[in-house]
Amino acid sequence: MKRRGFTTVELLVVLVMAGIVAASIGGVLRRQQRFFANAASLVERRVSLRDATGILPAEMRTLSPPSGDVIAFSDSSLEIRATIGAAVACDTLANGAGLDLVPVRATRSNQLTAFSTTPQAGDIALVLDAGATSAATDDAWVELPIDGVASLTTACAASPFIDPVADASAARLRLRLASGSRLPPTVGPGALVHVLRRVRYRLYRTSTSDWYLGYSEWDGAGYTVVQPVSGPFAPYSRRVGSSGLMLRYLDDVDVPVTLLVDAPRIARIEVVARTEVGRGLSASQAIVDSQTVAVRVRNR
Amino acid sequence: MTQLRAAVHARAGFALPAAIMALVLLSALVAGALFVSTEELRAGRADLADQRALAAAELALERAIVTWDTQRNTQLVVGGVVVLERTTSPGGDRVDVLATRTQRNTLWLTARATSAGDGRRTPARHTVSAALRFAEPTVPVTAALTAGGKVIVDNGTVDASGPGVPGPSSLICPDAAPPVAAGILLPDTTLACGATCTGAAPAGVYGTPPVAAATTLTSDSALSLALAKRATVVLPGGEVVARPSTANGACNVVDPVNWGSPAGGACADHYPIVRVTGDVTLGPGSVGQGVLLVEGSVRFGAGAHFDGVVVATNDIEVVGADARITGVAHARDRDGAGASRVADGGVIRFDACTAQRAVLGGARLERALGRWWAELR
Repeated sequence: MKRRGFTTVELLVVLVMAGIVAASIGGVLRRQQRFFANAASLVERRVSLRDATGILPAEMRTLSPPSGDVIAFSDSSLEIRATIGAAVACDTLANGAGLDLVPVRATRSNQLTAFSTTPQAGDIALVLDAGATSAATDDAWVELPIDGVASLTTACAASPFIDPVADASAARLRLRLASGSRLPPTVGPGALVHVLRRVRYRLYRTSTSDWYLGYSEWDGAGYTVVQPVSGPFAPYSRRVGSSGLMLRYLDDVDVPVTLLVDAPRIARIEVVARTEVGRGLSASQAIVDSQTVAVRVRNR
Repeated sequence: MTQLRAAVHARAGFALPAAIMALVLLSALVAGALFVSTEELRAGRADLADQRALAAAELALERAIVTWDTQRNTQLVVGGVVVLERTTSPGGDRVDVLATRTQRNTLWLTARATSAGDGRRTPARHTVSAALRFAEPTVPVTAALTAGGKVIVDNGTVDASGPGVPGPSSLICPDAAPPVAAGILLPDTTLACGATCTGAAPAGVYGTPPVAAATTLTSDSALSLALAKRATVVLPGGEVVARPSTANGACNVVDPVNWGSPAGGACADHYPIVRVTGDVTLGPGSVGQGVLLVEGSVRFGAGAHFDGVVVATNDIEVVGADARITGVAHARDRDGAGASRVADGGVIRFDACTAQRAVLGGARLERALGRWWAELR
């Protein structure tokens, strides 16, 4: 019986065609893989962008530039006195040595105390001193350095801001002031308190050569080691439209503020965060994505 | 049969697998694109909800400040909480605004907004707070009657000898002891006269001392200007009979001749700052409280009562049976002619608490100096 077979030419043609098809499929698969990797990376980077444009505005909104909250600034860094909490004092210590604060979870229906992080030595208590008269002219926010913080349950027993039964075990923060700093005699229970901490945000290069938004805070003696809070971003550049983080400071009439001496005039801050994703989805170019947010400072 | 098999064999090839492969690849591409866009949509919705919650909280806070009811100035005790707004939109967004009085002159406002309108499981939430104070005009409380010119007390009473009617709560008058005050304070003690001017303190004037001289009178134009700017009621002058009035069971604060009710009732905490742009006479039975600024002269007729602060750029006359001012009175004597008169049973009775209550009751809310806003996180 004669068996049918393929000629060499047929085999060669088939092999070539199969090779072309396999190469095409391989190419498509590679592109597909890159597409997915880049898409996932893009999503991650956009999360980073959102982080940056979420974290910074939250800090910037509560700034009071005329009160000296902006310590230093540049196009990629910002050193400020950030408000880490606000509270109502339920009592003052003897000789004005400190304050007890209404508990964070007091059961009275209004929230009188809230902290994003627990106060610590080195922070600053700003206390509203309503003055000796009922007029607003003698009001002042008094700046007092905090020397220590304790948590108590025994303070403010008779305070009108605390329910004696329901709040009996609620922790009250006690802010002890640094020696030499005393509350004015006109500050009493019910005084409004803001707690500030010196913090620094900047675009910095990590050991892996990636660029991150870094955060460090003042612990009373110096700034802590920079921690990455968001990134990676595009590298720093002075060129407009290319840096990983670009900060612009504007006054009431949108005139840029560039000198520290003019910092009290800052009314608005623009934040542009920019990121790059390797080779793009089209495999021919890097994808650059950015997010811009403008923040109006509230305490002016 | 053989032909059929041959036909089947003839259909074998890679078109079908290739098509399937292509479909798989295409599906993967679409899935990838969907993944990216879904993530973007989710993140975008989260951003939107976050911004909406923040904007709603800030708007509610501003609205609460602007629409603050000054009757609460004297109603709300230290530590007291009042709900100013509690609304839920059909989309599920919610706003709560609460106020707590923290001291006599300070108020803590919080506005919490949650936004879940897009069906998110965890709604976006923002709580913002405002440190506010009651902005009161500074009214000197040093004498029953402070005058820039001649004062005649003839069968009337100017009494600063005692606390008068004590303030009902320590919120308004935290000092237990009433301040020492003169009966009449004017540039020259000889300007205080009885039926005739003898140079001695007239009968019916009591205080520490009954009559005192002050080279710098505090009933100056700055006080008038400060009060004029804060006026809540402006009237042209003429004869006015003020009386409390209500609408739907509540004090009718938009009634220009409702100047509150010292005797209590629905208008007990209504303390308007009334500016009258000419001479005015308060007719018999006229009753009011608060701050009365008269750009001219004011005459209290028989039976007219006013509790609080009366400031006239010219003269004050309290003449007639039971005509009475309780608090403090300032007559600037702008024209340098005529005289302020307390006569025929009229009384000016010094009461620091009543004056302070009137000033606080008419105070408006202001943001605390420099640093009023905070986000509670």
